[in-house]
Amino acid sequence: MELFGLLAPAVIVVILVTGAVRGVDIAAEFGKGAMEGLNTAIELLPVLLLVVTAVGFAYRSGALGALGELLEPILSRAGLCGDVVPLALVRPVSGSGALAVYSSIIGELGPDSFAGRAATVLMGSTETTFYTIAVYYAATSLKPGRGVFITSLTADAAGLIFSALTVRLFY
Amino acid sequence: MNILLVTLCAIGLVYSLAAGDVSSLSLAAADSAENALKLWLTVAAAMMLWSGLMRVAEKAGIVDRLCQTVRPLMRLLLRDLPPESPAMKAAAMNFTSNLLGLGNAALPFGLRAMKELETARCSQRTMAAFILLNTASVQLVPMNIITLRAAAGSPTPSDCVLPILFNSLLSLTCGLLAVCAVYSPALSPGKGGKIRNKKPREERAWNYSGS
Repeated sequence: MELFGLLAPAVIVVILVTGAVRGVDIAAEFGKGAMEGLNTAIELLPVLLLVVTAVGFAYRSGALGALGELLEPILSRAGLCGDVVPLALVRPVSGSGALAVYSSIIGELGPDSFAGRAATVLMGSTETTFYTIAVYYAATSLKPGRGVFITSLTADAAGLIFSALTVRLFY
Repeated sequence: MNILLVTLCAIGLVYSLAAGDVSSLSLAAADSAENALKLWLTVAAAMMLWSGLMRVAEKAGIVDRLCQTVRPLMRLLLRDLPPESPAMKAAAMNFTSNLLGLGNAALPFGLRAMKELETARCSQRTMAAFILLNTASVQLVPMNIITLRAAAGSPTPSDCVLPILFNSLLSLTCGLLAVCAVYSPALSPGKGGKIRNKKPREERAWNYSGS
């Protein structure tokens, strides 16, 4: 598994070496790209502030934990743990919300706890489904049919159900 | 989004009142902004680094190469598109960007692909499959998550790469099966000939609201 620690450095080296070989002005192009990244990040900041506060309310009051415990008996049947429920609920709706919930889960329970790992897998293998569908269909003059929601949410549900299984399988 | 925000705050307030513990809530109100800024710093730094690197990768032709590699897969999933159509190209670029964990770069390609799909008058099934490709979030390099895990103190932050990939492929497969089931009468591909009749009503979902 430690091999994957090499992934990020390897990707960086491959990109830079290929860039150098192909005669790309690395510093200039990197700067332009990083600027775009910074602009996107800055656009994200105000909403993130608000969402983290809201999530902090729900999370630190213990309400989300209680919700997880409430659903625990049902979920443990499927091998899931209640701690990822808040993430599963927020994930399809809001990207910044999911980010806030995810970072509080791995912050409070530890990134390498079972819940932390399940949350990691869930976070990485699902998307802000409703947002994506809305934005993508907004580019067309069509309206998303029911089938689009059914199929995408099926994939999300599968992602949630399999997340615990995946964690057991890999660790 | 409004509903989500209000719900989160309201259940937090109601629950802590009911539990008789308001101190944690006032603490949350006080230091949440600072937490948000710390979180943002982590994410923003990763976003800058990887957006910069990906621009270099694009200029070096690496992204184009990856696009070529994913073409066969795209052809399989979006089967009523001509292989060299602009829709296919945009879809491939979109998928490649997602694969590299670049949601921001993926979006413009995704929107272009949707426009082209509409112009090409492709089936609902193809559109649903394309949306699914985006929402299933298949990633080779989930850099944001690795960064967040490292920031939370994990000694092995990148051991999540394989599980994440595995899980998203699994959920993508389930989604594709759902696509086959929902849109089966129209254009069912050779998925074991498992055609379940679900009344061919989906074609009506087209909505030509003149714009």
